Amino acid sequence: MRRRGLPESHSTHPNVTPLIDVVMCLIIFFMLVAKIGVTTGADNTIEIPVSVFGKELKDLGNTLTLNVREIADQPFVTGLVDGSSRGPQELKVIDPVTGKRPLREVLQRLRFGNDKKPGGVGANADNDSFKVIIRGDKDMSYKVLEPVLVACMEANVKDVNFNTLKPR
Amino acid sequence: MRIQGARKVHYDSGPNMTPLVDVVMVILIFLMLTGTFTGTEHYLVSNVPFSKQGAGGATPPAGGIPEDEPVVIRVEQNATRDGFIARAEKTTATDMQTLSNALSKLRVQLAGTGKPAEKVQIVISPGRNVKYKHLVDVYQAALDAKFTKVAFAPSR
Repeated sequence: MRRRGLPESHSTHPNVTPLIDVVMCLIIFFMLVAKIGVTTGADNTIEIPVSVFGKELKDLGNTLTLNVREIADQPFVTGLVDGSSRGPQELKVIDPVTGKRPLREVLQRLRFGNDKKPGGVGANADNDSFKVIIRGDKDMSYKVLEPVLVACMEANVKDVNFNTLKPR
Repeated sequence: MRIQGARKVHYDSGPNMTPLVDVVMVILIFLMLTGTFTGTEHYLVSNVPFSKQGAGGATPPAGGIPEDEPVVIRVEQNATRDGFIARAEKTTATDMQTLSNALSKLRVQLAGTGKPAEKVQIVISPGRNVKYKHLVDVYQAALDAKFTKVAFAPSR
């Protein structure tokens, strides 16, 4: 009886199943750790100063990021106030035409609610954990930063954080 | 003579995985390029960012350490180079480390008088033209000296 050897049972193509398993793990990893589409209104064109010391802020939800730069010896402040707008809006410290203080009013509204006064409930409720993040140009002078700090003080915002770069 | 052709042996190799691998690779490259998971920024935290109190003009007591007054650091822009000149108590410093060492000594002295660092208010009193990056250095010097309450004063 002639014996026939069994044909070799192997595929000519490499087994890609382990490759897909590894790649899926990597995808899940990057999906969990990546931050995509999260905007705080930070202006990345501003060169912020470097600091060795600093803390991480875990909760950036209840914050307002103010981008501060010096233009013609005057503060130019922008911030993402309305979440529906595409980008940060200018917040004048003092409006030269009307004499109003838009920056302070925005801070008061975010701090104290729509009535801009302490106390109240509902839409007028105070936001005690409201934080401000100042993202200032490293070469701007203090005379430009001071009005922003004054506005924060007048709005009773005590939790002010200065955004800095970690050293490389 | 009938030659029997060899039987074709067909192995079921399953669905074609090549397109799946292609799509998965594209997604992976997309996530690698767009995601940032190592933070390059952090924050200097301040609980009292602005102090209405200015630099004051009171002379310190004989010991040189005003026990009931905040510790004021006067900061001026260095006219000769891109730097700052900071004066705290009887110390003048032009770099962060020197200022930090001076503040650390001050902290020890204050602790010896029964005033721990957490009860001392550091007030940075800058000139109008001092650059923000130098103020950050002064701020860091205060933090390095283990002071926790740091505020800015109105400009001089």
